[in-house]
Amino acid sequence: MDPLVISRWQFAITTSYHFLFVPLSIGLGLFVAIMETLYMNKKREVYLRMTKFWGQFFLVSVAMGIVTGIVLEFQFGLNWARFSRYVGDVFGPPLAIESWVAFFLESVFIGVWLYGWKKLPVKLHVFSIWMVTLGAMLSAFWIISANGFMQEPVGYVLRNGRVELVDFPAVIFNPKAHFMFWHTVFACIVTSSFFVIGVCAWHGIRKTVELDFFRRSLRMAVVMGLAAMIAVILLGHFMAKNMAEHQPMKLAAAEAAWETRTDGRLSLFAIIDEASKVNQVDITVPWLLNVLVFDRFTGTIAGMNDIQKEHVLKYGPGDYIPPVTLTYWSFRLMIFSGIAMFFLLVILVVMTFRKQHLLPVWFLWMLLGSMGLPHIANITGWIVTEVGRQPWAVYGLLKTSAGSTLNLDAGTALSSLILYTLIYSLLAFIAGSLIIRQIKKGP
Amino acid sequence: MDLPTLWFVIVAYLFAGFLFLEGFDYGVGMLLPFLSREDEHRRMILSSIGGVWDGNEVWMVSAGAVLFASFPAWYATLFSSLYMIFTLILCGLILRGIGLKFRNLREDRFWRSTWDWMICLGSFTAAFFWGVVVGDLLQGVPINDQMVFIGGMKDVFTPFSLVTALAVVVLFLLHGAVYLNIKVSGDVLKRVERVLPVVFFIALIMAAGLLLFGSLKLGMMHTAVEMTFAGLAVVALALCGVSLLRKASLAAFWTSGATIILVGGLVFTHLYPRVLISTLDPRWTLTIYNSSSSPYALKVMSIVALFFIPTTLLYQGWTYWILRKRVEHSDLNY
Repeated sequence: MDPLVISRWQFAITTSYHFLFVPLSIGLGLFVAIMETLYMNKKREVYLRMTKFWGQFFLVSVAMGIVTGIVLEFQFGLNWARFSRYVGDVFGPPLAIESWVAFFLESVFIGVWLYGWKKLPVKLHVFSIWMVTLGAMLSAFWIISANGFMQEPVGYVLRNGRVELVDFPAVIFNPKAHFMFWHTVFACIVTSSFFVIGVCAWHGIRKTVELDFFRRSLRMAVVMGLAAMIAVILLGHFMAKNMAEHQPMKLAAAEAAWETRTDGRLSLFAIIDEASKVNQVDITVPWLLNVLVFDRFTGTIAGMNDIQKEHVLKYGPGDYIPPVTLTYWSFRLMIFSGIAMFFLLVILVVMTFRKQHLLPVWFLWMLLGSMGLPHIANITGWIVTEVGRQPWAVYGLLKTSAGSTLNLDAGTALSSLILYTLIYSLLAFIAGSLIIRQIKKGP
Repeated sequence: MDLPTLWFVIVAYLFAGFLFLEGFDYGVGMLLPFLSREDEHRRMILSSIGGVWDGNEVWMVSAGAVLFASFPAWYATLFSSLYMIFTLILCGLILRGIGLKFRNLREDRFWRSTWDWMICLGSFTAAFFWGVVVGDLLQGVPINDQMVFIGGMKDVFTPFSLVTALAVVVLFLLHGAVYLNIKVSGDVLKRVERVLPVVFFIALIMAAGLLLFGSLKLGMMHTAVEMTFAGLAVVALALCGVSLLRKASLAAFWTSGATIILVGGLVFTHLYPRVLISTLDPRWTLTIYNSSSSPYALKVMSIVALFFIPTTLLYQGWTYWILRKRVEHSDLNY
């Protein structure tokens, strides 16, 4: 087996796994911080119980997020040594700054928060949880700044056979990174909203006698979830516009648009034949893509075949088309789950704020089932971002295949892949059963 | 001081901080199942690091990220050369980190004792393989002119790297024991006091072996600076022994920490200005000059570091102040 292929699988698995827990920890951190603040201000016992109950899930997700995050940090050097040497000058500083600005804040304060219930005055204790949340969000900002550079390289020159940083502000004010950051942060809030909603729904089905506790939790999740969901959609719209401008190939792949489109049709369902570069079936809606990308009915979306020709002229011979089926369907799954979540939240807002009305049981079951929706959207969103950028690791500068570690033994690479997969599966099972246990136990 | 040297010092500072702080975390983790079988005792042992280990681990994470940012070629070549070593470190850290967080979330005995052993195994694995990394840094690895590792396991696991690995494990055990000595109370404290002399004695032998091996095999400690570091490390360890004899537990903790920092200092001064030695040809050795980031990138980070190194140190210090008291049985309601 090719060690490059193994490294790619390992990166895909470890990154996706990490991102199952991170959005929960970022979002739940915010929830818990708000709950404890409410407790401090209103001195109501229920808010303290909410802090502690939801805090447990926050802790589990933080623990999983941290240990799987260290793997990612080391992995650049382990499997992607040439990438690390080539972009370290630009890609490294955001990571280093992330560790000082964000990780210290997050990890130092989570310790005091956990062990300081009795040792700290309430104000400082609340302050600690806010610092944890702030740290988590800042860490998202810095890592996405680094990723933004891979999508849209800015602030660099090619010198000494590598990219060198010449304009640091350009890297951290990269518009691409800012759209991605806010899109991600709001998606994290949506993710934990659906978690809270799902847990409340389960206790609704079980008729747990904690009406006040779950009603307050539910209302908070629904309001924050809907606000965040609207933000996610708006930012997604800006990202699509940005993508059309800076990464037309990714947009074309996400639409499975082989030929240049002038009618602005948006594909809903396609059966793609990547080998012959055609779609055997393509059900489309006219104009909609133009509306989404250009805010008007007219416009031209470049097709993959034309962009491929352009890229051959610009970057030399090669295949510049990413895996189309995966990108296309990931994009669909993300958008479909997003739309489903939006409507669920709208219905929920209407229903939960009617007085003393209990939600019907079938609807509660639906909410319980929808806990997975944000995770689907999160992972497929990143697949569009990362797979859609292929064959590039750093767009236009470094191909993924040129970034891997040289002379990495396939057996060694495979054994690490197996090791992570085993440990991660086992942990998924343990963490999953722990979360289910905590849910069942109730507040 | 030129910029690469400054950043070499910052990397050394972060690694020294990591060894000092995680040193006792790993040590406590390794000692955990051996000190007592009783759950209440084990909870007390874990409570001693529970509020601080996350923050300590960040020193390692930060050292890794700063290495990447300031010396990309060092980071990339070191990690890819010692691929399996770092993979095992990561697996150890996963087991330990999850164990520390999950252990108390359920009551049943099997769950808790399994995680206790995972914490122990994970701490040992991480400590041992970081020790191998130290050995490999000192002796060098076979890298060619393209900074590509062309060796095998036998170049990574040598008698010398096994000695450094065991030395690191034992120094961490001692550091963990002297840390518990200032943090726990009651029966647990008595048990710690019982194992301390044994641990200290083994640490003394291993440290002597390490210095001897390093001096004979690698020509370490042939310069005045290295002699100073090595000499001070020996003095610190001796003082740790004296403090233990005199029941000066706080002094024992600081001197054991000083030993670790000084050994770390010895490693880095021995390397300087090299960062990764090629055993094949000295011309292929990575130095701070051929592996560092551009002056602009280093300058940007220097400005950030100037502000954040003191800030992080301050608030982390504050949390140690908050959690400064010995853990009593009455604290164990978590």
